[in-house]
Amino acid sequence: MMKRKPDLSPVLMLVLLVLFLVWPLFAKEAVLYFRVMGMACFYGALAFSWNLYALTGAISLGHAAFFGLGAYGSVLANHYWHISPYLSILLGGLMGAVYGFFWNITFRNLRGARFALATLASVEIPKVIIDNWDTFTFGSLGLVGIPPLPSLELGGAVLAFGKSLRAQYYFLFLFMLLIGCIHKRAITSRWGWAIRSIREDEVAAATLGVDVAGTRFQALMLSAFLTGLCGGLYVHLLGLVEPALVFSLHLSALPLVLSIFGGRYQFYGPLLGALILYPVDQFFFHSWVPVGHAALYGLVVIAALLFFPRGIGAWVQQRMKYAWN
Amino acid sequence: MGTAANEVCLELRHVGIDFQRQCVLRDVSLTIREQEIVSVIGPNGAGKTTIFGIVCGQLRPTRGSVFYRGHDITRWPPHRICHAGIGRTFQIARPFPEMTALENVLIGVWFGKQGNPPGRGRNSEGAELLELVGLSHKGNVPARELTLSELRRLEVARALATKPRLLLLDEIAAGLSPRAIAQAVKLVKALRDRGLTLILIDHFLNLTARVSDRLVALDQGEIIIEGKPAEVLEYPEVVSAYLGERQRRGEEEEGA
Repeated sequence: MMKRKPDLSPVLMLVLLVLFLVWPLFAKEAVLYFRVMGMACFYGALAFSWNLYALTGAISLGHAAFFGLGAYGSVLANHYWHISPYLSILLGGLMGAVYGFFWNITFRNLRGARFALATLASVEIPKVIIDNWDTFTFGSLGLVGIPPLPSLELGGAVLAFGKSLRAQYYFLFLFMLLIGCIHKRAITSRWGWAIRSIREDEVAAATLGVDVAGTRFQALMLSAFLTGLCGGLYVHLLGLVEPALVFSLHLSALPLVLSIFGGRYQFYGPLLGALILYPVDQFFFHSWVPVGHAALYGLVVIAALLFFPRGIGAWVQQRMKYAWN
Repeated sequence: MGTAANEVCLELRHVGIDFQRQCVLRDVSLTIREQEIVSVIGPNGAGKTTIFGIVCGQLRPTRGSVFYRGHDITRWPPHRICHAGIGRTFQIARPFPEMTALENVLIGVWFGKQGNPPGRGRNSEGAELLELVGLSHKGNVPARELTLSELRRLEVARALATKPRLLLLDEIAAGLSPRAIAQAVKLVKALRDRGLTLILIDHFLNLTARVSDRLVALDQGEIIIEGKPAEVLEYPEVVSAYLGERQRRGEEEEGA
């Protein structure tokens, strides 16, 4: 056996974790940075949620369906039943999961491009219904004045997630961390090996005792639920919702772009994509080309696909391996 | 779980399958006893691999049913059939290309039986299996970098990792050198000595005739004859099915 070099990645992870928790304490007034880094974490969480199912080899172009249903589930529960946003966001997640269940039944036998096209089309169904059911969903006008996240009191300290952008950053960071832990399990656990074997050869996996249908089902339900949670959370951060906003192609494509850019097979890949691309887009592209900054996004993605086909994360890992040996 | 050598292991009852209204298997009935080595022979398109697909749950038969140790497994999903103790290899190897050879085998170790947690103790099981098929030096190589003959052996190691009691081997000797075939014969005999029941598919008879207790000859989706290897190989329809149309045409011309 080869002599193994000491594994430094847990140390690196810990250092990064501390950095992410500590920097806002020293930059008290950096409101813009809280906002951008918070949203980067949010999109990291969204990319993690998307990638959970993509790890089984199924590239979805329709996660906006879960996102939008989560958003509307949360907003309408909040509007009609006056329940706390924290509860209604959970309900939004469940809405996503219900739609995920229908996906699981109807798209069971679709793979590859046909699956992707079916998911893309499936976004239109809830969108059209919500667009036209004016009396219940307020139609294409949407809703405004959605309450922000209420403050929580914890042992005398007030956590104003809705008012203070710094508290919101921490909230989003922890939210991302939680989904990140689930995503890590989907790669490194026994369940993760099942997912990986399905991705690499479904027929062989089944022959070796992997419950293919069950594992795909679990991954999809989890992915749909968490994407629904993201959708629910999103509208309470933004304060408004309309069908064209939450059922947009942009929201289906973004997690895909971030994951592929960051590296789909590393447990930190989707987050890496979000932490690089989102701030770069907001701080640089936005100020350079205010109108067409999405085009730069597109260019970056094409470049990534050409030069880092397995993502930045895989590339960095490779470099580090060479550096160590 | 001692099983008497004469007990029925696998039974196909009037199994048939159609693909897009085209009949691929007509009506196949077959009984395999414990610790038997049975070979299914026949020309291309006879339906040999289709039988494996049906037994392992990848294909749903249109007609008939499959019994394994008294259980009707016809509608079981593939992983449940694997957990029940049936393993198979694929004619065209289906490795997990990005995993190492060892990881390929470990998937079988971890998932072959229900509730098998991954752990260091189990990793040694995978290493032993690689040694059995002569791949221990390739343990850390990604499967996509293995040669054809290595992939065949990896298939066998992986199938064994699920601890099957009935193993279906699909053309493990096709395209191998005479030396590799001799190794394959040794491996098959070693497996039988471990108490496994084996069904082999072979196109060229180079392996089967030497190890089988019984041959089953298949042509156009039907069993044309089954019995001791020597008997089956002398059967005129087997000869003509094997040598194919050219031979038949030749005979007709001679007759004319």
